Amino acid sequence: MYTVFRKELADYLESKRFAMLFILATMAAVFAVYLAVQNIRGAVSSSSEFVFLKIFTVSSETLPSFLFFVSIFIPIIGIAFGFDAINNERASGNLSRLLSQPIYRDSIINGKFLASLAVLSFIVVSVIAIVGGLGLRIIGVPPDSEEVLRLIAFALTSIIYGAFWVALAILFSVSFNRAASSMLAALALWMFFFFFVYMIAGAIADARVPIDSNSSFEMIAKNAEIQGMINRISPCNLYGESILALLTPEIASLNPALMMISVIAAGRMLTPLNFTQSLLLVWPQIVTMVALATICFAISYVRFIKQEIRAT
Amino acid sequence: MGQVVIETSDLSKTYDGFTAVDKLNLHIEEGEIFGFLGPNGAGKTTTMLMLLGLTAPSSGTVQICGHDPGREPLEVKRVVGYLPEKVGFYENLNARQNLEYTAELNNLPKREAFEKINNLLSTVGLSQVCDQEVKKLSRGMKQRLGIADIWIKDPKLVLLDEPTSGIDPEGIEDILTLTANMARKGITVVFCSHQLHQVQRICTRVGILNKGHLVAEGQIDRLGREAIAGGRYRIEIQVAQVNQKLVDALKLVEGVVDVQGSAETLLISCDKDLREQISKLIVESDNSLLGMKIEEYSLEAVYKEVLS
Amino acid sequence: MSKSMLACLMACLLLFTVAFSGLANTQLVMAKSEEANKLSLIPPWQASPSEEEIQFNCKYPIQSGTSDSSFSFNVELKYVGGEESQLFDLSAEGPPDWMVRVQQTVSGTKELPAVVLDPTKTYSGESVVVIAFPPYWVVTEPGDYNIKLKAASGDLEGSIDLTARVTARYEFKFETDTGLLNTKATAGKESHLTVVVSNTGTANLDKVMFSSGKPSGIGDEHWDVTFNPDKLEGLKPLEEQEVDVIIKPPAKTIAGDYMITLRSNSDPSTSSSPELKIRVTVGTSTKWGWIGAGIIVAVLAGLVLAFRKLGRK
Repeated sequence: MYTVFRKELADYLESKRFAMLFILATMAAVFAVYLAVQNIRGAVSSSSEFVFLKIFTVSSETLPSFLFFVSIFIPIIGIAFGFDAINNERASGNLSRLLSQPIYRDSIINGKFLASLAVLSFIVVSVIAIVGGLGLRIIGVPPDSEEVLRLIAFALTSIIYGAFWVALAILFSVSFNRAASSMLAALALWMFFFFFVYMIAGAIADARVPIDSNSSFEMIAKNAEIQGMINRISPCNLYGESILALLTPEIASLNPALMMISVIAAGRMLTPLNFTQSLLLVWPQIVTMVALATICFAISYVRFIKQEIRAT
Repeated sequence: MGQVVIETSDLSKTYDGFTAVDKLNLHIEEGEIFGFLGPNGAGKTTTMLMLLGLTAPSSGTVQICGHDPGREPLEVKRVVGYLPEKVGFYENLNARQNLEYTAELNNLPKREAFEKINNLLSTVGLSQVCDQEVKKLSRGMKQRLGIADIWIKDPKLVLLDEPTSGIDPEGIEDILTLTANMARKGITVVFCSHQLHQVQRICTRVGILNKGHLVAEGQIDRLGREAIAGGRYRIEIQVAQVNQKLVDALKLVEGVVDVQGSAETLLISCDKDLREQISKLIVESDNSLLGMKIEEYSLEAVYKEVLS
Repeated sequence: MSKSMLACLMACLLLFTVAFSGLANTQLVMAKSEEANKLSLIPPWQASPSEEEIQFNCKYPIQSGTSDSSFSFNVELKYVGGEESQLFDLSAEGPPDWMVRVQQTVSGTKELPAVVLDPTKTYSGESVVVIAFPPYWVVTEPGDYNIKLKAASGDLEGSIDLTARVTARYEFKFETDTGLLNTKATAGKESHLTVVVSNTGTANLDKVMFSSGKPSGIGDEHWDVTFNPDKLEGLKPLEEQEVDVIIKPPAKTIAGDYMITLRSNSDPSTSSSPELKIRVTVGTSTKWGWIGAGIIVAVLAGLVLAFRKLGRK
């Protein structure tokens, strides 16, 4: 398996898509940092202790924050390094040659999955490090140990999320014979999760609890709650919630209604949670993502092992 | 008699109710070049995949050098080289890198692999282009690279699936020579092809598969005798003058079944190879022997005969 | 008889008059006796036009001002009792070192050494302006300073006393020693800025105290601005003293420009307390700057290393 892993890793590292995605991701990240630093002074309240994390979360009026870029890039990278893993081998006639070598069949899919994940992790960690380094250089405020912990958790969560997309893309690459179909399917699924679930959630919530400008607070909260619940079926949303809570210690609840109540009704200042509390808050989300990634990979593993090589 | 390399018994494969291979019994020994023939869809590739363990048989057993490919896939794959019909390589890598990868997958030490790859590349005549990306290689070069690829692991058994399809005559020549060389080194070869005359040239034994059944199996001349001449030898002679006396004399030779004649040539059917006795008889009867040949059975004829 | 009777009658009349006036006009007598000292109780030229004198009239004989201002008095002079115009020499004298001038108008430049007064005219008088300048090279102590304007012609002379009341002016300047209004600092580190307090007023400042306004935004409660010394005592006029301002931005200050305000106030207080708005440029501490750059270099090195180690070419 290690040989397959090494070979795929080398292939990916030298592939054009790696260079393209790495440069693109780095550029987006640098851009986001630049904007964040421009706006960071306004965003940092006097009581804030988490200046360094703000580099990652602050957005400008016109452009979204680093987190948004990351949440778009990870699925794309995951899909890019998985969608043709198996079907390309099959189409090029490599698969049967590869399978006739003295290696276990699952080594191929395991090696490919791990290589994709390694490349993805490499990009994620590099980009976070570049952002951190650049931010550190510009604002000059070092992260404290808790912020470092939160960043590590952020990176790990991102890798888990990436693993889900890699596993999904590999599943499609096992299921579809043509690389183009599997890529389109994966992208379509991503778009469904990323855009349509939000739209549908909003529509359903509005249908169940219609709100307008003079709706009562309870109604608005209920609407938000329904919307939030439906959104949770989207892994994009799970990831978004997780990283937001991990990098924004002030977020004390992921229930949108509760958030609104605590902020508007009580009007209290949001006191930051400590790291373990934040982690506990998003633990269900992270576990769900791990489970989704595992399920996707397990299905593709079984399908690949069971799949017969047929005479053409 | 060498060691048994392939032994199958009642090997069958059914895909969705369609029987691709039906009760196949093969027995191939070390050093043989076994030509595996049959029309498209006869189950040749399926059989190969079952031999390799890539496809599980529906029933029956396979033993490759004493191992069951389904149970001990690695032991089997370690000794079997398989060249698929449409062999593919990593297009972005060059020839050498592709071979290096195979060597790594076979756990060859790097240094040993390097020398071996160099030797193999020159053996298959790809030394000149070994640093080019595979996508720039011609079909024939790829096929030769495929042969180098299966050679890396020092196989005991090589399964070649249509190695000559789509290649120019010169390339075919190269591949046939390489295949023959492999056999000379003690490697058992299963050569699967439609190109009957190629099979005839290099194979020691052939098996003809039709709709999953092995319809004929054996050495080509024996097959020919059985299929066309009812199992007899046919000797054609040319003499200066054909006369009844000679025909009668020939008929008296032990083993001769029938003598048919025309003006200058006589066709003698016999149970065994009687050329020596026949030539002696002609010389002794003061006739001049102008030519003599024993009829060779073309595989094509056999093939047609068997499949009809 | 008629002569003695007339004399007797006259005497009686006189006695009566005297007795009567002695009873009824005591006040008048007293007023007359005062007339010699005080000039303006009764308009002099109405009282006894027969007597020859020079009269002074000043509506605002006491003026107050700070030591760097000038005091100008409008004085009207009138010559009464004479028959014809006379030339009077004018002289004004003030305290030592003061410069006192007599001019026609405040804005005039010419001094009037003498004035011609015509006693026959019945007008309010000739007006002159007395301008007194306190010395500019020393700070004049607050207090009343007497200025005397004299007019003399032969034996006839008169004078008027004018009072310049010098009041104290409390004022000081508050500047940086370089005059620049910006400085540099590093997050979490002290940086120094020297400000100079100079007493530009006319009196001692008992105390000058300082305070600072910190920038809004991040961690403003942690901005540490201290003055050393934290107050100045007994600052004499024209005296100046340096104060060391120690600015310490909080450790987590984001690099950039921040405005801090240095305020001062004094006792006795001045009309306006000077303040300085200082732009503090907080730079990245070199350590973190290098570490930041180091991380980026490490990432790039990692990339290269990954290619070297894991790549093929």
